[in-house]
Amino acid sequence: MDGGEILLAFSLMAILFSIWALLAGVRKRSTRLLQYGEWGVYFYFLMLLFSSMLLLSHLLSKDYSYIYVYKHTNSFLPLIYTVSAFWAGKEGSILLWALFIATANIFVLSEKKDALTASTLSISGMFLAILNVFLLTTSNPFIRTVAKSEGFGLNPLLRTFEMVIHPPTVFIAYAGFLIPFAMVVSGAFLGREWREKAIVRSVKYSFFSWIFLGFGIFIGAYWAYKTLGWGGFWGWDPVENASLMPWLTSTAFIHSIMLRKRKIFDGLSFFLIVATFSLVIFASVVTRGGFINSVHAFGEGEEGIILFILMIGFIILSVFAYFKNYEKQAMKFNLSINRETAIILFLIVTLMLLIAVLAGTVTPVFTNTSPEREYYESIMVFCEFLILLILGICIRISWRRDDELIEKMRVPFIIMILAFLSTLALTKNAIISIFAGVSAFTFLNHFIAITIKKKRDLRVYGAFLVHIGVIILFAGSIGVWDYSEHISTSIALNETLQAGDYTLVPVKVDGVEKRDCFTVFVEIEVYKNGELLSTLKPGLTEYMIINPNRIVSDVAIASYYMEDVYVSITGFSSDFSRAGIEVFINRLTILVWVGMALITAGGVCSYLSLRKD
Amino acid sequence: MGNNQGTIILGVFATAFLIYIGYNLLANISPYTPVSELLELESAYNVQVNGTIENTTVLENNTSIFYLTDGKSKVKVIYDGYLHNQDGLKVVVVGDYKNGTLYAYQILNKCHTEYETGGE
Repeated sequence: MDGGEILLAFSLMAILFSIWALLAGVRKRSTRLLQYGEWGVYFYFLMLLFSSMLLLSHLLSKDYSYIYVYKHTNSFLPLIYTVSAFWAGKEGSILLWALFIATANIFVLSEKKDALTASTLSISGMFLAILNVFLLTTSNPFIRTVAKSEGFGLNPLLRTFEMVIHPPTVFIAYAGFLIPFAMVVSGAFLGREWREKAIVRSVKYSFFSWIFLGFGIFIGAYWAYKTLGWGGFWGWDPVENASLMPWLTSTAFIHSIMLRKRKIFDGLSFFLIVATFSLVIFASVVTRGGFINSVHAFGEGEEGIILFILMIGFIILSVFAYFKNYEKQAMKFNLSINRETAIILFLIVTLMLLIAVLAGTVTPVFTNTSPEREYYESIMVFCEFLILLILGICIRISWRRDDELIEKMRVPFIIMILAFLSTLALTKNAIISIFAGVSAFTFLNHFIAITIKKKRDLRVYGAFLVHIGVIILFAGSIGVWDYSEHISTSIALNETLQAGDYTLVPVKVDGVEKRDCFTVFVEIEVYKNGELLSTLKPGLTEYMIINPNRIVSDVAIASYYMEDVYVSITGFSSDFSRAGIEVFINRLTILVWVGMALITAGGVCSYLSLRKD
Repeated sequence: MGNNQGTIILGVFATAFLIYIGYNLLANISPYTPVSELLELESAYNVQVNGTIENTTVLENNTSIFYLTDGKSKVKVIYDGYLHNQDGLKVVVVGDYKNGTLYAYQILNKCHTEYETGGE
């Protein structure tokens, strides 16, 4: 057995021991058993930490006798990508996930030591145990082979800074969402007095994970835009959808806790937490299971099936816990013109969006067909419209029956019409104009609400920032989807290509050779009104060490305020005299990034105030 | 508003939404077709075909001709664009099939199986 495997075997034993000790300790009310269980948690954390450090040291020393090191590094790889090779493959990423879960468990332990903590740690321990079993069997990063003199190298697409930070960010979220799940299920099992405590205590963890997942999606979208060369930031691929879905349910959860006074929403908050973690497991099924035909599903294996069964098991466990401890509530909504109704409507739209994304994602499994991007985009545009409208009203409407609503909405409504008409005159694009109107309406309502609000704290500012971020993000998405231009053609040196207001002139074809790759690029001058704005160098890079040889497109983007000139080369004729070229004039893309950044920043603000309470 | 009225309104809203989603889904799906099944058809529109690229010929007018094989059968594909040195690559070809030829309008790369990415 390898040293790493021994550490992992110890950690598995410690996990199983701590699950037993914690559960038995709660049942027998034995502080001694609970103490043992606690030591188990510290012990497996250390074992997972040491095995991670060991894998990292193998990567850094480029020890190609380990298959994992051989497959993901080579001797030319810069230090930063040698470190990120840790999470470039499924073995390393499962180890990382396990390490983060163990770390989260330490945080839970440091907060409060009671029956809820003990039972939470035993449930999260069960999931961790499964990952640990994977690490010893199907996803063992410590398998050795005959020593090779050179490694395979890191997937060229991952050699970007975004892909250094994206996977850990997402895994922090995926580990974090396990805690609220384990907490509320524990709460339901422990009895009524714990149920409410569990939901309250879990909010912090959900919120923390929500921020990280959102930020991870942001980085992923930015990477896709810069790297993949198809001109967009979101392709509605199953892998992308899989990360969006738990974000939607956790967004719904964060808003559902505002309705806690209403009995019916006790159960709703519970199920939103359960759904969030189930969708996290589903995401890992999609990315490694291989039973959804994704254009970039990574590898196949039995783990997907096991995780899928586990997900079903967890859902059954939660439903059982629910019926054991929650009173049956009749589905009766007492609607009135107030904020509660607005929040309920928001939750319905969010859940409908979730259903639409889920339906699209699983369609290939059941029907041998797959939905096109138009499906998602048309539903998303409709939902964006509804969400903006609800958001604009929600922020101004009072909690009690609001008879002055029409009065309050008069000015924002007039502004909405004005914004709509002026944008229509300017762009002649109906969808863009409708969105300009609704965005102005919602933005103005937020502005008024923050000005007249008496109690302004970090939490309030955070929520406002997130909402403003959403408005800006939606505006950007509409720009990219409905207000951009795309040209796909071929071009020779010194020919000109007109794209929007820009004239593109390729002036030079050249090559650069590096140690493990060769790049052919086209130097393209970009003119607007006869003035040279910039020179772009899109190209194709062929990586030679990897077999079969792999060609990666090097996208070049020039941003001018609200417009991106996005150029990717699709190929060359055999004598390199002509190049296939795709040019996208993407409008408002910058708003997508600004919106996502504001959502993250607002989340952090609100989280900081949450910690103070 | 009475209790039930609220429930009914929300129910109608949710149901209408679901119908809208279902309608949209049906209007925007394209089928996956294996190469052998494609060859049996007279013509097919907006199909997605999985396979491996073989014997690429690149013409000077921005057109590539290649064969897509699933190991058993193969189909001729014409694509507007240069496919430089892509033989052996696993792809999903999206296009229309008529007169024994698949006219591709999109070629999606499948990640090489040796390449598992972490994270997403």
